[in-house]
Amino acid sequence: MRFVLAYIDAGTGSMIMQVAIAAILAIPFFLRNQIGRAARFLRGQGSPKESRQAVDDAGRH
Amino acid sequence: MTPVGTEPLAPSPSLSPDPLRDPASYRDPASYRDPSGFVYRRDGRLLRQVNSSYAPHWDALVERGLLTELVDRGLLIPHEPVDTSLAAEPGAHAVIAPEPVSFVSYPYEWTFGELRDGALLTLEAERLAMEAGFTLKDASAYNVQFQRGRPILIDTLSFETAKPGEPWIAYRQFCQHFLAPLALMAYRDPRCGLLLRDFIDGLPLDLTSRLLPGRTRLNFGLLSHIHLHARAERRFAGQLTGTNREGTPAEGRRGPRMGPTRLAALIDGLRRSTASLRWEPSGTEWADYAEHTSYAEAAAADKDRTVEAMLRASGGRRVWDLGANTGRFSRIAAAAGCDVIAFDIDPGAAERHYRVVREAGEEHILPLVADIAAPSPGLGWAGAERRSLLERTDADLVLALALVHHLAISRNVPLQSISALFARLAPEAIVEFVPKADPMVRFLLSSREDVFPDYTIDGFRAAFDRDFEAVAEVPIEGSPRTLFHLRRREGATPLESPTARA
Repeated sequence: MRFVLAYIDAGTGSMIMQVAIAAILAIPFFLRNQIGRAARFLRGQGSPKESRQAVDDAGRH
Repeated sequence: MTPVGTEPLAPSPSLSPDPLRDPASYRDPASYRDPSGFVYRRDGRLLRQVNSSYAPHWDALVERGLLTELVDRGLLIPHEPVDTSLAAEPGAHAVIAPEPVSFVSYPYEWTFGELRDGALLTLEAERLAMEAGFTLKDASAYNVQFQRGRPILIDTLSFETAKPGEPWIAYRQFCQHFLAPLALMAYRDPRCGLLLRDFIDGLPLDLTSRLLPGRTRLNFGLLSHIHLHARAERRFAGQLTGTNREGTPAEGRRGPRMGPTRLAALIDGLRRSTASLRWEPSGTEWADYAEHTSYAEAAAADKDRTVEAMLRASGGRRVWDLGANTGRFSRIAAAAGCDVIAFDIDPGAAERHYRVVREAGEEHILPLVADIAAPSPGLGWAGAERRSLLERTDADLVLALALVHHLAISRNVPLQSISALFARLAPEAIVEFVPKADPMVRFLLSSREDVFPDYTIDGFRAAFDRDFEAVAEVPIEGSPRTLFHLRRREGATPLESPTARA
C-alpha cells in the first residue's frame, strides 16, 4: 500500500489523471527524443540548449 | 555553496508577525504553509530558515549541486548561507540570505506573457530537478517573481528528493496556478487573470472547464490537463489513492505510479501546452492608444524632453509610472537611470509593453496590470498574505502622464483625492494636466454631463497645493496640456487616508 502525501493536497483525481496522460504522452515523447538524438548525432551537434535560452525560446511570441 | 554550521542556536528575540508594526524584524505573513522553513526579516535583512525536518533534502540539494546549477542558469534566486545563530526559531538546520527581490508583484498583476513565462520557468526548473533526482514539491505562481526583467523562482525550499515512481505532487497546483488562468486569458479574455485575486490558491479546474469555450476540448493539452482533469477530480473527490471508493484500503491496490520517462513526458507535454497558448494584444481599450494619441509629433517630442528633464532634476531612482500604456515614458525613465514599475489598467497595453521590455532585454522596467482607482487589496490569511499594492510602494517618484483626466472625469475621482493618493505613493510626482479644451477630454465628456466645474488648471493647482509644492510648471509646446513637477510638502502625512480629510 502506498499513499502519496505532501504538504499540499496533490488530489487523488489529479494523480490518477496525470498517470493516464503521461502514458499517452510518453510514446510521442520517446519517439521525438530518439529522432532528435539521431538528428543531433548526424549533424555532429552536442547537448541541447541552455535552460534560460530554452525558457526564452518557448515563451517567444 | 557550503553547508552551514550546526552550532547550538543562540536565543533569538521573537519576531513580530506584523510587518507594519515592526518593518525591520518580522516573519513574512505569506511564509507559513511549507513546514520546510520560512522567510523572515531580522534587522532589515531578508533571511530564510531551513528547518530540521527538511535537513535530508537540503543537504542532498547542496551536495549534489542542484541549487548552484539553477542559480547559475538564472532560474533560482541566489542566496548566501549565513550563521544559524541568526535563526528565528529553534529547530533550524540552516539559515540563508536570499537576494531580495526589488519589487514583489503577484500573478493577478501580471500580463499574459509574464504569467506564461513564469509557467515555463517552473516547468524548466522541474525538468532540471528531475534529471538530478529531485522534484518540485509545489508549483505555486507565488514562487515566481520578476527580477531584472526576468522571471525567477524565489522559493529555494521548493525542491525535495524525488521518490522513485511517484507522480508529480505539484501537477494539480501547476494546472490551477498557471495553465487554467492562461487558457482562460487566451481563449476567453485577458482580464480573466484577475480571477486569481479571488482564488489565490489557483483557479478551480471545474470552474475553468465550464468557462472555457467548447472548442478547447479539441486541444489535447487543454482537454486532458483541464477538462478531463476536472472530471477526474470530481470522480475521485474524497478518495485516497490506494483505497476503494468507501475510503478503506483496497487489497492489492497501490497508489498511482509512473516511471521517469512518463514523468518527463508529462512535463514536456505541459510545456508544449503552455507554450502553445497565444494571445495577441489588440482591440483592448488602450492597447493601440500610443498609435492613436492626439499628440502632434512636435508636441510629443517636447513632452519627452520635458519629462526627461524633470526626471533628471528629481534625482529619484524608483519610479511608479501610473497609466504607463506601452511604456514610452517608462523607457525614458529607465534611460535616465531609474527602476520603473509600469502600471496600466489595460492588459493589452501592459502585454505589449512587456513584449518590448522582454525583446530589448530591459532590466529596469516591470510592466504590470493594475487599476490605480481600485488597486490590488491585501489578500489571503488575515488579509496580509498578499500585500495590497499601496502597501508595497517604495517609489521616489510617481509619473502620471495623461492619467489625471481619466481618473477625474471617467472615474469621478476628485482632484484632491488624486493628489492625496500620489502624495501617499511617493515624495515627488510628475503630473500632466489635460484641460477641457483638449480633444481627449472633449471626447470623454461627449457622452456625459459635465459635472466637473473645478476641473480647470486653477482647480488642479489648488487641489494639489494641499500636498505638494510645484517645483516646475511647463506648458507642452503645440498642445493645451501642462506638465507639473511636484514635491510633497514638509509635514504632509503620506499614509493618511484620502477620505480622512472630508
